[in-house]
Amino acid sequence: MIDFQVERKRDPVRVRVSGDLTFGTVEELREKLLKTMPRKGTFRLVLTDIGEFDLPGVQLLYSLCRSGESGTVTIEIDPGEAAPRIEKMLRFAGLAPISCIQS
Amino acid sequence: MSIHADPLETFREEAKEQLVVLEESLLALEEDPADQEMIAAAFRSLHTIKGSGGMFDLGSLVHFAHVVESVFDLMRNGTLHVESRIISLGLQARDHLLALLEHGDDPELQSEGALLEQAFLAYLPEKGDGAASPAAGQSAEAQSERTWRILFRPKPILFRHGANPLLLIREMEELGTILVLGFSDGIPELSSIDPTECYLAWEVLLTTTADEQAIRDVFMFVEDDADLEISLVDEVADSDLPYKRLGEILLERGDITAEALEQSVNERAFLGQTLVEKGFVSSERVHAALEEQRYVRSMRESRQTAESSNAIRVGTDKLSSLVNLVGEFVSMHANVVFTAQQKDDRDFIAVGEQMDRLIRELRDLSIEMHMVPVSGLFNGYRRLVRDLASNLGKEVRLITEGSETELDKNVIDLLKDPLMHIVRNSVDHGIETPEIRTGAGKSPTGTLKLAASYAGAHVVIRVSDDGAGMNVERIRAKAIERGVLSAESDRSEEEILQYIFAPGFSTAEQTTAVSGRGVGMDVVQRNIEQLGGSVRIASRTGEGSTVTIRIPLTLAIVEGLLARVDRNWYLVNLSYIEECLDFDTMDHENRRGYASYRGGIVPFVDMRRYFRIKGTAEKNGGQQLIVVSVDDKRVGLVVDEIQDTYQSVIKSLGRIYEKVEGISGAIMLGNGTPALVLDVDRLVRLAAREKGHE
Amino acid sequence: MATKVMIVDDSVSMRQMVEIILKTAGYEVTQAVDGREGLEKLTDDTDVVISDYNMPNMNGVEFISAVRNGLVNRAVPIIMLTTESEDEKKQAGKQAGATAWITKPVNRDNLVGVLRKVTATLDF
Repeated sequence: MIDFQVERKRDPVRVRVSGDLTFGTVEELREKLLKTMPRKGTFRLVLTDIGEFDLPGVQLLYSLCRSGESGTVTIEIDPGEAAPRIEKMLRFAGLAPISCIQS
Repeated sequence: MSIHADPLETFREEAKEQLVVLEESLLALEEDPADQEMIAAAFRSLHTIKGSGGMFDLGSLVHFAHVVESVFDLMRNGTLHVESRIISLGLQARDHLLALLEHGDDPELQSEGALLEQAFLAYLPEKGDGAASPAAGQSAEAQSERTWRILFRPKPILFRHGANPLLLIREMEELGTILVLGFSDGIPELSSIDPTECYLAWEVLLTTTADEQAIRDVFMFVEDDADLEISLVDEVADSDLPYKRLGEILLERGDITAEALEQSVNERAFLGQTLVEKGFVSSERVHAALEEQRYVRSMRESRQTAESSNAIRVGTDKLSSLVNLVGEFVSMHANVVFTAQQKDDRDFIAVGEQMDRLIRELRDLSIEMHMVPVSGLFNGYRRLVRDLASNLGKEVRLITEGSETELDKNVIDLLKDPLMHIVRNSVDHGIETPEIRTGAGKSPTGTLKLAASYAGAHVVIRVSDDGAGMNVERIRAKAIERGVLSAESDRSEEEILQYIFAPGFSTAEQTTAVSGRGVGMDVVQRNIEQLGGSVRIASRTGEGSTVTIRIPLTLAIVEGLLARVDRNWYLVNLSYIEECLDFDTMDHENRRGYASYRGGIVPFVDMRRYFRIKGTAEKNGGQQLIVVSVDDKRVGLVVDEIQDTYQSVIKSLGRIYEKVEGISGAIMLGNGTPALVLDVDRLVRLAAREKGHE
Repeated sequence: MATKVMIVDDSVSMRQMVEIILKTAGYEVTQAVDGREGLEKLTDDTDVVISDYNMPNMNGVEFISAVRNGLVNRAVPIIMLTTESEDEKKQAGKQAGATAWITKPVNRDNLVGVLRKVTATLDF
């Protein structure tokens, strides 16, 4: 359901995620992100072929960004082709843009 | 038929057969438009499809078949001529019905069906089914549109119970125009998040004609899994005022404390920026408050445009005159009826009775026009509460409930001061300072709630706080000291609490600059009683107090029972009366003033004795007992005679009566003699107090 | 893509009726005769579950908690069917994690109305 690939292990660390970004996958995704996230440097999450996504899914993206706000690591999210869909949901739910999503 | 045969499938087969019949009859009609037989056949097949479709709840199929059938019905009874256009429309309708049967109700079919339906509707007379004029519906809407603020804070468990806030937003969207403000500032970072929990919260501004209940229904399944606050933020009545300031909005929503606001306001910079810099509130919250301001402004603009097209603005002074005139008219009518009865003119009496019905309608309508929601009154206290609280170093959150409840504008105006006094008291003496509250295990911010609701012909307003509550023992001591209560009295705590409304009663150890201005709760009580209302207090030490005010919906006109004592007439407000009984035939004990009633006893007040009227009731008897009740207390009023019900305008009392306890006003009867309006509430209370002294 | 509903009820006629109503409203329906079969047939593709309370083998509340504590689609919206007099059961269902409830008798309006309240494909 969720495909998690570490594309680059050295700084900048890059992971590619595809599949559903939903309640059913957020726990697994969180674990894997925590495991791969470096202590410093840049961490880049690339989303491709995102199927369904829901509020828990979006919430996790916010959480990931927040992790970069206080620490020494810079977080970047590349939303891929899901960008307009994510933006549409955020607008519908009246939520602020996710700060580390690259436009 | 086996149990597994799908009845719906059977229906489809039957319906398709009917569609074949429909097609055949239509084709036959094309050959011979005058063939009555064929028109009837087409009508029957549509009717059959409609009928059995109804059993399967096939809404759009049934609706569409009904519209087409109606047109064929017109042709059947000769109102409409068969023409080739109808026949080709009929064939299209047949195709559409077939598609509905085979594919169900998909969006593409819907729009196709809507077009076809319009074509058929054009043949039906204006009042036909589904032809309701949309313009009429819209104008009704525009009149009662209001803007609500809905604070929705899900509990963490929400997602795990399968609930989806997005669906709630969509549902609200269907109720009107919305502005959705989502808050993501509660989401923790990855290392501390439980991603199956909900950290999001929302504020939604909804402009709608729907009432509070309809909005609550959206949340019916999540009420245990979320905190929900719904309040009215704006409506037509106060749209001339500028909308709330940024700080007020933030405070109202509980985003910041009064203290934080006070500190930042003094800096005189841009408030929002200062608040964020000081870390009092996230920028998301400030942004949301600004959005709210903008939204309400733009809603007002569009509403004003809409209003100008379908409503007329009338000055409240003109409305008041109308209400007064109607009141005079009501009195005049009573005069007419009286004269007619004196002359025993049957025709005249009959006309009078017909007029009575019209006058009632006129009265109700004029009163209705004069009603305004209490939200204006409630919102007027926000500033007061904020300022008071910050002066006293307290944190107080004001919440309102039922603010759409409507009251006569005059009543609202007269309620402003007494209610303000109660609100002041709650903030000053009720709610504790944050330190004391924290020490008592409460949240540092106190809550003051203003709630309004209907109760028959009355409106009940409750002012409750979660403060320290009243000290019953201290009130008891004071009452004894002042000689209004005997030391042996076994009054209930609830009864003792009511002594705070006695003159000169102020229980706080020290009077403060805020509420200790010599205006006591006795003045509050007197003011409210002058409105024909009552006020009670309930309290629990440590948990808070609730003041309950009960006031009539309107002041303008009372409907009552006319009672006579000696040569004087009294009006007893109908809304208090339980029943009237023949006093002479009842068991009663004159000295102590009790009569047996419904298997128990009821205390009674002999009005002759109460008003010190000389003489005794006529020997031939006929004395009546009017049983009145307030809350759950009953008292009987003994009078010489009861006449009809009577409605009238209440005139303000002349000076002579001002000090008479038990009278709240006067009216002029049809024959020109005056009658006094009994203050039932007061009488019941006095009676209860007297009995308690024994 | 049609919304996939699973109806869990031991009564054949009830399942039939719900299926007919929902099919005409454009839903895709799966049936299960009790909680146990419901658990077997539940997949991640199930969009919403409608479950009766009184059933042999595994009743409605047991079924709901099994789903909520299970591994498959555990946050699926679950609508509980109760009768007017079963307020305690409704409470138990809520405790166990029911998303919504419908008071019997079931008809098209309340069924489709509540389904629309708890599930819908939002266009994102």
